[in-house]
Amino acid sequence: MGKPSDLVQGTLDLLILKTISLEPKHGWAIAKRIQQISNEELQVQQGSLYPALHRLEQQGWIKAHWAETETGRNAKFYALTRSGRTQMEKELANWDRLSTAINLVVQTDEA
Amino acid sequence: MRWTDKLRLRWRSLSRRPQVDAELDDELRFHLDQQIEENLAAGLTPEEARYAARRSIGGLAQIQEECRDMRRVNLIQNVLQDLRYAARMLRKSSGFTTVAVLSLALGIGANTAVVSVIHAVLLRSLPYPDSGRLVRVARQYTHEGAVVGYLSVPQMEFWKENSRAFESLAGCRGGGARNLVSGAGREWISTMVVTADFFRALGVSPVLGREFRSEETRLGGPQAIVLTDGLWRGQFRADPSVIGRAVTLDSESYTVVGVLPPGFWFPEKRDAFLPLRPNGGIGDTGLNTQVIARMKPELNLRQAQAEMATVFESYSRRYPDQVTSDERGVALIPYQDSLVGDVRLNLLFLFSAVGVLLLIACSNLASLLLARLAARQKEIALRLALGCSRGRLLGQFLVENLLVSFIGGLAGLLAAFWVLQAFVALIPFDLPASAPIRLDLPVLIFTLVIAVGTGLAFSLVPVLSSVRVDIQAALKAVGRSTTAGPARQRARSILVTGEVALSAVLLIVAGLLMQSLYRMHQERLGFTPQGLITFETPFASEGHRGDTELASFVRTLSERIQSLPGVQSVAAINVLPLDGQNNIPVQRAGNPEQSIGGMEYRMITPSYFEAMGIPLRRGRFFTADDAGAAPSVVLINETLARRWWPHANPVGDRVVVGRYEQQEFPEIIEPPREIVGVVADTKGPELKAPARPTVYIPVAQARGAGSMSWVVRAGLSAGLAQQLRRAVADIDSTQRVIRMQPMTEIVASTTADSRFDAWLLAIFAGVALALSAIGIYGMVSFSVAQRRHEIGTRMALGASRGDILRMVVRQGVTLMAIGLVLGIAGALAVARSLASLLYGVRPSDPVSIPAVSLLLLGVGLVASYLPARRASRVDPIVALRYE
Repeated sequence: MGKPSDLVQGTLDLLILKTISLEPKHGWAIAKRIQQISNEELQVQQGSLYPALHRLEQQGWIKAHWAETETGRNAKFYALTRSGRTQMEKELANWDRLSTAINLVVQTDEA
Repeated sequence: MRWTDKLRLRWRSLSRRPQVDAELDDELRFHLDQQIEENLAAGLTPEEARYAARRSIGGLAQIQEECRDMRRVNLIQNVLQDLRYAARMLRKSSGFTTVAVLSLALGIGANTAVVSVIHAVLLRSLPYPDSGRLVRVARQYTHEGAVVGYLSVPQMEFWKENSRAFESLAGCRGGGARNLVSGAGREWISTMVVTADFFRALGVSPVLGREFRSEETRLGGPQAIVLTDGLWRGQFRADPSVIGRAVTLDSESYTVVGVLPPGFWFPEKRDAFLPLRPNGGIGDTGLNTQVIARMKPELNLRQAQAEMATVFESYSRRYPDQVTSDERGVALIPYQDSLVGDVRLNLLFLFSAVGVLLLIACSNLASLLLARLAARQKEIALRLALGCSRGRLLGQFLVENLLVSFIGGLAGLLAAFWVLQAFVALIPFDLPASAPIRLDLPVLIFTLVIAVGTGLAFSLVPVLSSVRVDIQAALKAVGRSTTAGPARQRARSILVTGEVALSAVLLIVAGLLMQSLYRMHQERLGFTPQGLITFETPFASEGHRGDTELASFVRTLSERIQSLPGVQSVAAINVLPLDGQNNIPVQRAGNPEQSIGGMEYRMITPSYFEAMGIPLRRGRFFTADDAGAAPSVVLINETLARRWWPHANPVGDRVVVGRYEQQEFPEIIEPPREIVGVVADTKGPELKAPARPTVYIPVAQARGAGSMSWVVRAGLSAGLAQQLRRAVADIDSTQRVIRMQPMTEIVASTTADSRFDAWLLAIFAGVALALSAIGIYGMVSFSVAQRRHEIGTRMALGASRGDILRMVVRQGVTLMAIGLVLGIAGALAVARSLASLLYGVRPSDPVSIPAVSLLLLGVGLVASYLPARRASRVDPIVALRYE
């Protein structure tokens, strides 16, 4: 099980942006979603999640609104903004490049 | 997102903080509830579910704090909060605050005041357009650094005609006091005579009328006058039609041709300017004229200087007899530098002294801060343990210290305002400032920078060291006062040692200056100034009185004063000792190689030596018969006798006034005079310099005396001054009397610079000593308080009170001794560069250093004895139980 510190620096932002890119989600849902999709491999600690959300909001990449959940409770939902989408695409491209490069290195037979 | 939206978000976070916080709370609570639900669904009991959820989330408060950080508003809120907290802390510890603010105010105030003076005098450029191109043309002599800033008129004219380095070259010299009669009445005004392009060289043009034309500067040309704004507004009521009007100066008619602008400034204050009209007289052929030139813009000083070297060569080829053997050439001195001269050294000396004072004040402050922070060690450890970040603590302490230095700076500014006024009023040397000396913008910026700079510099180290605590160790010691960390103790020791060293430097230099002053007062004047009253009777202009008229005026006034009740003796002389110089070339008759170009020349009445108390060494004094047609006689002083007649009796030999080597000065050349006696030396123009070779001539046989000074030996009664004035007025009602003062005052004024420096430094040194004493006292009492437990233990184990006393005192005195050694080394280095301010005392003087050492060690002993006694009275039982 991954601890937050195992997340590659800066990838938490990317995970959050990607997770809410289809529809707005609240913090709990974001954490759960990341956990599910990664086959429980990545677990986001609240101690990192919420500061990250607030930081992204300050940067204008996501925006928040209060809405009712399916269970009828009030929760803070985060949605991607236009500049957030641009940022996500930039970070995705970065990630692709980086992971390809790392793969190339680690999968080569003779090191 | 646009920046406006961002701003809106930030503003919301800042202005509606409770709501934003509540939302954050809700958000996190929602998360917690979801976790609990999930745990319940997994089959945990409600209590277990809540507990597990809490545990998985971690510190809620920390998450909240981090979220707030992310919103970037904490910074502002923290600063505001810190400021409030700091203000409260400072109010609570009013002792610390008072000492800190006062010492900063003192240091910053003194610095600001001195910097204002330096800014006005040394840094601000002169109020002439392109003033960097103005130079003073001076004569350069072979001995190192000897420059004389006065030329003869023929020499000036030669430079003007032959040099191509200057746009314009002008000369000026004093024109004396003149009696101005205009429509509005009569008034004494001070004048200066200047060449035609004087104002052009300075780059100043009259606001009304014009400057002098060349025909006005020729003998026999029309007489003209240029008024300053002040005279124009005063005497002429700012009348614009004044141009072309005739006014009378000393019964001669002059036409007003120009009025200078209101801002016109010249280092020598004058009411009006007259044309310099060379007449070949001694005034022109002597070295009397200041020459100011404006360099061509394409030349720099070095190029102009090189050009002048070739001009000087052609001058010395053309007029070999005008160049003395020790004259080497022409020196061009940037005009501002030439004005500032010795004042620069004095001001820089002051600046270093106040700088050192500020350093001492700051070290004291830093050492106080260290003590305070040490006392708050447990608070700091606790806050760090509770999750406060080191950066946050650092910020808080810095804000606190900046607040102190800011208040100190404000107080310093207020202090500077008063100190500056006192400075300007008390500084005895002329400050050639072209604009009023005041606190202006650059100076205010300087104050702000040093206030904040010192605040930062001197709080950074203590604060950094205090947040780097070992939390565990500090908390384990809860309830027991910890011995301050060795690092901090060392930092304080270094600060206190530095303070002592700097104080020692100030004290030693102050001691040296005081000793110089004492030596100067001990210097043999060669006459008895006590009981002498002096005054001067200036003559309106050359030729105002003929030589015989003058002799009879002097004789009549002497008799008149002699008859006043209480007057023992009265005499007159052209220049009093220590009050100026008047020298001309003199030669030993028949010995051209025995010539002195600058022989001090004194015209006296026969009773002069008796009135002054100057003894006769050989021959006789003058008598009333040494007058007019009687054989020409002269008295010489011992210095001259030793120089020209080292092994013979000069009485009976003869000297020639107005002859130098092969050169004759037609204006003043006289037939040889017979030496009738030798008198004891008196001081020349300067107290610090030995007596100069001097000749005395009876005034009844002299020519062209410009002004006479009178010495009256009498019981100083209140009415005497009034009686003397009346005596003069009775003989000639138009004759002015100026500078009526006791001789002792003239003597005192020659030591005024030194006295000012010495007393100022003594005050600084006293303050520094007090600050160091506080520093040592604070340091030792603090460490005693910290070591209560240790001291209690020692006493419980059998240490006597004496042992404890010695242990604590040793700590203070050791610091003092180390500081002292460093200070002595520093003072020796500093004093060498101050050699020109010292007189008759060497930097390694055997009196100052031991005296200061004893003083400092004594102070160190007292400052550490008081806390030591407290330590030795510690009751071991109380001390140990208290822990």
